[in-house]
Amino acid sequence: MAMTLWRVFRREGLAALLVALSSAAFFAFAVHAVVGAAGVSASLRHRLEITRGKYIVEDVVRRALTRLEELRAGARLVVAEGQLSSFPQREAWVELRTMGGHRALVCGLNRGEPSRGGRTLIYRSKATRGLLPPEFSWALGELEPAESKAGLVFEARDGEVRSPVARKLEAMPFRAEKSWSDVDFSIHRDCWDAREGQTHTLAMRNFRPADELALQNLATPTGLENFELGNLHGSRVVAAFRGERDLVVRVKGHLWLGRPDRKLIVGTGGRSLLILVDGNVRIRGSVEMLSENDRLFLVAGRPGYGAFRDRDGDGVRDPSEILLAPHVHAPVLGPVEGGGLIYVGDAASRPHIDAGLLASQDVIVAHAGAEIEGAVLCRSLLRLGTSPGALVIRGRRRTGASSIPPRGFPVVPGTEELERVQPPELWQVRNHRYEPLESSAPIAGRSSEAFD
Amino acid sequence: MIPARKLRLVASAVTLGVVTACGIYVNVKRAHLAPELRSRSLLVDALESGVETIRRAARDGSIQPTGIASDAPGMLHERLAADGIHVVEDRILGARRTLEITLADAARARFELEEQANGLRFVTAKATRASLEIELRALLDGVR
Repeated sequence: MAMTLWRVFRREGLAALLVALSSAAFFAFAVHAVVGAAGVSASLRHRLEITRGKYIVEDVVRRALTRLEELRAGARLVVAEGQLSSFPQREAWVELRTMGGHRALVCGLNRGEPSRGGRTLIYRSKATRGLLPPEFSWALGELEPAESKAGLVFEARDGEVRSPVARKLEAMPFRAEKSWSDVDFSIHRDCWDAREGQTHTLAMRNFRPADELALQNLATPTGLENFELGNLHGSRVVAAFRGERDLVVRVKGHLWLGRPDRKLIVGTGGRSLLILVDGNVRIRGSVEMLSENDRLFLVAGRPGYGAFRDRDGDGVRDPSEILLAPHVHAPVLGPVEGGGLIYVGDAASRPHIDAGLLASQDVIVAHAGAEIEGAVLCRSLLRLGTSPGALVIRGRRRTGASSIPPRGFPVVPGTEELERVQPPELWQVRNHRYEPLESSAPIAGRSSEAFD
Repeated sequence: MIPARKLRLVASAVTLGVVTACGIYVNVKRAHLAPELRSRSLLVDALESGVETIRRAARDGSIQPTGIASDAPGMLHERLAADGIHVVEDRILGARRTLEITLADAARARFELEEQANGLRFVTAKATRASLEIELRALLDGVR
């Protein structure tokens, strides 16, 4: 009897055991299949969120760059995510930070309520030295627009003639002191005393002290020192910069470019050269770039320097010429000849200038007029003479595939790096420093405040 | 007892059969699901790659400054083809251009280029696959 029961139990128990084991295996298999599929699906959603976020960040950064001075001052700008987002009014933030010794634009996209375990996606993008404001993509921008635009011609890159459309600058760019201290090297008289001991020696040799030019061309000596860009090579004046990246140079004095009888050729190795000039810039002859990818931008007038409205263009203030304030509520500082003026051409020559110009005060174009291939930004654009020659402002020619400008007028140096926000890199802060997270997963449960 | 034993054996066998059938069903479904999810991921890759190709074309002037329609004929198509994206139809209507495309795995999708009145240009990649809509929208000209 016992044997019979055992046999029955054994037979039915084995069957039951078989059913139980196969059921368990099936459920494990099903759970694995569902979890695995859900994991892949979540990964796909995450991937889409990161990619969409990258494009949103590009737009957010584009709009934030219009407030570059605030970024430079260390402000955290709060900007709406904009029309690329499913929630256009949702706020993102942008900061300019130093990370690992390099400056970076950091942008945060809030995803979900921080109080409910929401997270912030942090994107960063290189912010190269020499970043220029977007106004450099304009043709002409004036803080105090001059009334007459007669003889002013705007041309698009394709040669299409457009009606002159000058835009009003809301604020003068490059007014933050930090913009003038964060440079690759400075040119001043002491450079020549210990030039061999300086870094960037080769680049510095593209400048030379040129006080004799002021003595020859101006009625009185200048308060600031004078320098000329370029060295004489045969019939040309040449300046050659070979940088791995965009270069920012500060000239602590006045800068002279080009000569009436010789054009200045500037090579920048396919990069952008930004020259910040404390005083005035005098462009006497044509300035051309060596290659189509080379770009030159000139900014005149360090913060705090004022000038006068030089209606006769002689560089000396007459009693009838009004003082121009230095864009701050402070007494007019600077040399007697002023700082922040850009003089273009002379009565005889009509230079062709391949450069973007920004004068904190006026741009003064001589009688013969000029052709400028780039932006002109200034307090006011003055043209000398009762019937001044035509001033043509032309969009910069199209550059090669390795460089940018997609449309319109010249683009911002540094946009090569900024144009494409880097693939999402997620960061956390430890000991007040940004550190990359090893995991590429979003930082769940962190609010943006966690990164302060 | 014997009928009960037979009943239990039959029940066990039926259960085993049902479990096995369910297992086979789930396995078949998973076998279909995994490639589907992988191909969706590849679809996102392809769309992102296409967006970048179009933006590169815009950067170096293949898509001209004025409008979105004046690139050299075929240039944009060739560039996309190099990425495995084949343009089957290219429609231009006002300030909107639509590129209907096929991808290497025969998925149908499209890129839409549009220019707004303020001069901003956008590129939108859209694809629908197995009731999942994938859309990527970006500035055509990047950060300027």
